[in-house]
Amino acid sequence: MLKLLRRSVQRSATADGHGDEIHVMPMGHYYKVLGALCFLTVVTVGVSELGLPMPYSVIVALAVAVVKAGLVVTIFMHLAFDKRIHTLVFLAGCVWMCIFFTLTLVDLFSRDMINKEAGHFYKFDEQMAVYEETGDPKDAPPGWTIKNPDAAAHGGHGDAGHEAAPAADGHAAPAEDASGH
Amino acid sequence: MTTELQNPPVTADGFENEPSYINARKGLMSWIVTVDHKRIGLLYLFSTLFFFAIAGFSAVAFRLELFTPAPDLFTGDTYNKLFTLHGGMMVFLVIIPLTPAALGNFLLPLMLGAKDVAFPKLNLASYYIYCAGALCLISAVVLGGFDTGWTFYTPYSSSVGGPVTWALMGAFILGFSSIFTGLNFVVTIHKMRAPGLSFWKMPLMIWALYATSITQLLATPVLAITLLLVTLERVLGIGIFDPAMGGDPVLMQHFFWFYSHPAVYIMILPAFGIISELVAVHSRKRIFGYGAIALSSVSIAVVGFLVWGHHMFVSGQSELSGAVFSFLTFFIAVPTAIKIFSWVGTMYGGSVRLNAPMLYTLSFLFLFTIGGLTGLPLATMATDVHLHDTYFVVAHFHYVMASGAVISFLGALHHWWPKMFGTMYDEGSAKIGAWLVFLGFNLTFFPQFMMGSSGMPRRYHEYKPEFELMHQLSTIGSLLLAAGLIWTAIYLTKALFWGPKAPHNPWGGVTLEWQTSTPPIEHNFHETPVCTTGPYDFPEIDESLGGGHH
Amino acid sequence: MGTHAPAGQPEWVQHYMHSAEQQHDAAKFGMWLFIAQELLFFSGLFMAYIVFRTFYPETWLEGADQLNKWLGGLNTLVLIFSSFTMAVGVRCAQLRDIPGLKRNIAITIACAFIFLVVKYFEYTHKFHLGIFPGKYYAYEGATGLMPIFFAIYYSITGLHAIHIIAGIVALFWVYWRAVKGQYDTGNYISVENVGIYWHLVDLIWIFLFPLLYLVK
Repeated sequence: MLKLLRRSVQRSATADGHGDEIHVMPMGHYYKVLGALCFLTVVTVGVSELGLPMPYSVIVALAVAVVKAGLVVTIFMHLAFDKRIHTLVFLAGCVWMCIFFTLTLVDLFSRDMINKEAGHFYKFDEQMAVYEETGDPKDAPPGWTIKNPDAAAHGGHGDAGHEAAPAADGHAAPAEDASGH
Repeated sequence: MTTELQNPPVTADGFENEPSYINARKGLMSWIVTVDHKRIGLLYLFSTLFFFAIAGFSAVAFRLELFTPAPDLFTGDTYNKLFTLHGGMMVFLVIIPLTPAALGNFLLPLMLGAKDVAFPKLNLASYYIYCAGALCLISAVVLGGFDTGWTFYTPYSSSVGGPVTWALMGAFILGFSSIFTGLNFVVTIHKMRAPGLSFWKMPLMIWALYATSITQLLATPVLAITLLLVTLERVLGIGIFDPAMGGDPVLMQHFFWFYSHPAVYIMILPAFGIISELVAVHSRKRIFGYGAIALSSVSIAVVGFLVWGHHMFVSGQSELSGAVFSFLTFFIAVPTAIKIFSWVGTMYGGSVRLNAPMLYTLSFLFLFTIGGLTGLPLATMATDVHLHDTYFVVAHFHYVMASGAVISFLGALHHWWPKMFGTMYDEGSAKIGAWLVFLGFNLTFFPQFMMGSSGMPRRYHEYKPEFELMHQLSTIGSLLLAAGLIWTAIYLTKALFWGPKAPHNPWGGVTLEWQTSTPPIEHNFHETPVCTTGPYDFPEIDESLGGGHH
Repeated sequence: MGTHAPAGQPEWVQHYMHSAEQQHDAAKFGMWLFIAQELLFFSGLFMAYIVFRTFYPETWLEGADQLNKWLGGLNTLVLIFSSFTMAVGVRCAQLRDIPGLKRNIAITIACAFIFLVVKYFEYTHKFHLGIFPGKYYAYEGATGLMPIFFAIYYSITGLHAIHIIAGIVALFWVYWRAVKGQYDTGNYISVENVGIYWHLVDLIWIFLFPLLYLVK
């Protein structure tokens, strides 16, 4: 892998833009990558069977996925031997995705930073737990009683919530009172 | 489209015996399946101008309603549908495709010294995708209209009845037209420049189209997925944006504005490119700060992706992210101001000719500066909380978008008219049109700043009597603006069919599009030109180009 | 002014291009730009995934229990193998080995169909249990927020499956062109581009698999 990286950097440093579109990948590379990808798939399923605690299971799974993706992109998609601008384009796509994720998550994670009540969304299941205890419709999460009128009538969500969801055409009801926004 | 021009176009030396791209192939079919970028540009031009007229008339309709405080002409529901139609059509069918697809298609290969774009068939496909999207959007209107606002906020748009899904699918399809055009342009700019035409010798119009195309490519897919998810929410009740199922409606706004803020840069960056061209040619002076303008186009495109939350200060996003977005938004002002400064710097010491394109350029500089400066109280979260959803915002974006995109487009249309059609318009009529548009525009939108800061909310069909005077001024202005635009349409149509033949290079431009016949032959150039000078290196004596100013 | 290839260039070079190299480069560059935009197209769904998994972790654990990781793993291996045969197919096109190209494209198409068949079984199993998307959700064996997990699941795997179907169409087109002998002259860029697209589809699944199936 490192050899490939070094070679691709050397190549693009000297030949300005004359890509290696006639570069024919040796079959050996393809076999090795196929083997590695299958192996990593087995690894990732195996690791999930171990049942690591939460942050680590995602981190390991994503790390394996990134390595697999790297192999596909550099060898199968030829990026290691291709013009540098193609790599730039691909990375730009990834960076723009990260911009989208980062700034949106800044919002989502800080909803209740200043004002606890503003975190309605964040506390949905906590709110549901409170509602189940008290049975008081005013404690229900916003819109819940409209979506599940039967459940609201019974004062708890239980199984009635599921039958009510497809049966009650709940989403027609809240529409009419919205402002002309 | 089979009309023969009555006066055959004058061509430059060496092109006399060749028909222009307009006459090269005959018949309706030759236009319908054309892969010539110039013809595709014209197809876009006529389509977008058609929708511009419809959306414009809907605006006049609701402005008439707003002449009096009471709701006398339309019901609230109809009013909502009218402004939604105006916004949706203007954003998706007019301004996004207008300069990039209509003008850009025509000019890009010519300015690069290429014979066509990189993927001409994809170009034609983009146009037909545009038509398909337009049909869906029109179906939504014909089936009763939709009143969600062009912004389609959930939960209203995901739950209200009516043909909203048609509108969502229409915008979704239009997105792909935009993406493919952007893709085509980026590849053309990278791969098909004439020998000697390095990135740093490209006309600034190309830099602007480059920045626009990158933005189109990266932003529009997110709009596509947003509209798809809202559609799924309508059709299947998916619930990602529905609080009752654990979703978050503000999340939809994040998705939507991640596209729609860069979208406004898609609308304005080509306008900046136009102004760079016009100001240099009509001041007959090399552009001031070429590198600064080029890099500022790209930096506006990039920074434009970081600021979308300034549309959501009062929507329920967190205060922290409001502060972050507000801070980031201020950065956009810097490259934009650099451009304005550079354009004014270009005019200083130049030989300014006050012809119609220059009048439009001056209008742009004045109006866009107002629009840009009024963006600052909107970027500042503390003041935006009071101004959000008032007429102040409406006036701000019309000053930047309508004056930006539309007025610069009119300037460009006049500037490149001889090149595109081989005829000349009547300069006197053009000056009158420019003044009517300028005065009408200001009369329409300046009172809206005052109304907005006094609290007049937007998207309301009735209002308190204290706003009546401002509304009346605004309505009269809109009629004046409409008159100016109709006047422009009339004399330009006259010029199209009965105008005198145009000189080869009336303005003495030195960019590559002026080095070929007027109008261009089908394949643009006989041989690929070799570029030896910069795009604004005007020779000392301008008679050698057979032009002089009109 | 004809629309012939420029002098000295193969006949498949367009008149507005100078050389075969320029045409090939332009096509490939365009394909990578398309890939970048596809990444952003899927990014919306990944964003929704991140948001809802962070705030509803228990729902995610329950939801993943409904998914069969062995079938998912099988699909992953199938797609990886199809990526391999696709890459080998491109190599065959480069070497003008048309029978090899046809063979590999055929295997790639077969793998794609296997993927879809496995997906079909997965979906019908869920429908059997009443796990439909959105408002048709009728499964009683889990907590109230489960519909959100399946909203994301169906949206993202559904969109991915649509891309697989589009890929199959493109692969059939490449196969047909190979049969017609259109790759004999060395203009194999369409094979390469369809290959890049196919690898992207594989790439997305490489991320989908652990994110949806291996939630533990």
